[in-house]
Amino acid sequence: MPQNVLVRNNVRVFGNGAQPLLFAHGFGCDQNMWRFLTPAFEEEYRVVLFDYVGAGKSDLSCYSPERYGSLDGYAQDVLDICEALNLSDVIFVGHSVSGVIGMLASIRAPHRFDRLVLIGPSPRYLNDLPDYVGGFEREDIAGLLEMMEKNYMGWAHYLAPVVMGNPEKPGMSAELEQSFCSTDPVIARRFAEVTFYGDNRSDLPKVSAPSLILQCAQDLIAPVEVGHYLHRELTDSTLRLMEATGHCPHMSHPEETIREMKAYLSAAPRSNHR
Amino acid sequence: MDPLLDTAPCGFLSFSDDGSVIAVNTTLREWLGYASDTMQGHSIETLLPVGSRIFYQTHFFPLLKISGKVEEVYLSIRTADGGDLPVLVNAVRHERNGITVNDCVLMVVRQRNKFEDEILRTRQALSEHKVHIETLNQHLQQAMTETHHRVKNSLQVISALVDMQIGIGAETVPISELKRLSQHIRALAAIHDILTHQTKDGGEAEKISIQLTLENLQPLLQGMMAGRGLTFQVEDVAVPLRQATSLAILTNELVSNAIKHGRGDVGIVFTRQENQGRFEVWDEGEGFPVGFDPLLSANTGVELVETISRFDLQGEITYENRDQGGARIVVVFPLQHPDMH
Repeated sequence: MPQNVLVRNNVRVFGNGAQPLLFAHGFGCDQNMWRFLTPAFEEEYRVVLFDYVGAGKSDLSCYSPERYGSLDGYAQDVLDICEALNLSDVIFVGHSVSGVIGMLASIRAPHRFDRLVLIGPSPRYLNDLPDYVGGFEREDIAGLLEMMEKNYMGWAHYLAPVVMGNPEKPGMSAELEQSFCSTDPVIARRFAEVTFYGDNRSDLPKVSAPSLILQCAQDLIAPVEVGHYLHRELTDSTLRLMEATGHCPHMSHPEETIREMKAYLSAAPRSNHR
Repeated sequence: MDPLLDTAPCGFLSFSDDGSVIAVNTTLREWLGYASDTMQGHSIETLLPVGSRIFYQTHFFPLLKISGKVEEVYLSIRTADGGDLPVLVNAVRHERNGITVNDCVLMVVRQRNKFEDEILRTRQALSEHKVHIETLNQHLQQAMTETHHRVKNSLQVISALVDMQIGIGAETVPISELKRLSQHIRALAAIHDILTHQTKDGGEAEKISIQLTLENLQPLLQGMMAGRGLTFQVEDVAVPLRQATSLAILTNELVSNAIKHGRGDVGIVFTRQENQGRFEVWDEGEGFPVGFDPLLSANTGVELVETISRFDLQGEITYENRDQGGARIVVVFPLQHPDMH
């Protein structure tokens, strides 16, 4: 079973340190997005990378629309990996929606987590005016779904059966290896819906692990209001407003991201109470 | 900018990793309706409608950064007057003058876009049809299973009737008994007729109307009357198929007994009393002799009536004489509802 999880989620472990640094990619990508950060951490930490089921080189036949119909299913992937590798004292680094996924995992298994590093997190992407600015209206998300559909067009038809749990999936992995940021369009669409229509604001007070919120300037996906909101709602959280613009500072501004992470991880001494 | 590139029949745009526009060619600037030199320094995201922005951040930029290029990505671009321009984008990353730039070539795909929209709509419709057809197919398979089940039940009834005849142990079967048997088979056929109509109209086939069942038997019964009157007084109640089948055979049997042993008109009455059904067949003849005991009258007809009333219908049967003359057989039985099983 543990072995299966490692294959299922295409888990990679490397580095010379003892404390696990578990990187979780966001919607639309896979573990490759972390390649600009990991070299800075592999001396001191045990780096763990993985792809969520449905993304990257994960085993698509393990996908089920029920399990991954909510972020809890994705959080279960994180917990499964922690269990398979017997991880504790984990520093969880999550981009975008993975920030929430990490929070959910830490709520369910607090003993496994030391701290959370949340890059461009958002507990709810849709506006809930007047009290909450998430950044998006429902029709914006419909625009995204359409955009995805158009871009998945060429190969949508033959991948569709995978979601039904086609056990054999002949020749598919080879095909997909070439296309980073691509996955079964049906899975991608469902992940988009789960991500962008979700609302996890009520989970925030349940998070006990200390967290670092890395908030980009001009992030249109997770606007600065959301960063401040999270900072208010998460106990023991640190908010850092970055110079980096956009939504992927770990890719567009890796140096600054590394600096912020290291500053946070060294300033707050590793907690041993868990 | 190279003058060839500046006015080439494709859009060209270059942006830095932090998303600011470094260069735009005249072709693209004119497509978008901006005055010259107003686009430099803009964030590329401001050129994108919200859906495209998310796609840019979650797919386009990560892919470009990791692979160094993207090909044939569909995006929607916002024009100066707020319209949307559908484009296909190819992009590559370069080092230029010491900084990393992302160069993009854009082609407008309005016509192709319409065509693709059409394909997407068609595919959507197709997948809806597929779901619909699969549902229908499931229903059909279910209906087939049920149908076979019902036919089997009817065949079992027939074989039980034949077995009763065999149980008598005689070497020969009187023609009159064969006639009775044929009458019952036709009654069962009548019920299957009703079911055919009922399922054709998309109605449920679990329950069946007593009134309809008896109405369908009427021509069959009328054929046995030899000129005598047959009256119906039937309250309409929907009952499970099994009960309707039992009632049809019972009706057949009681009416043919009334014709044989009684006189005058024959009547069929069905009323509902709360959860019980009361079924009666009367005639205008002599009535039952004093001391009539159905159990002692060794007669396949009576045996069948007893079996159906007490076992199949789980009811009580009484044989009595009417005040105005003639016999009356009354079966009172619990009305079952299929959903109570």
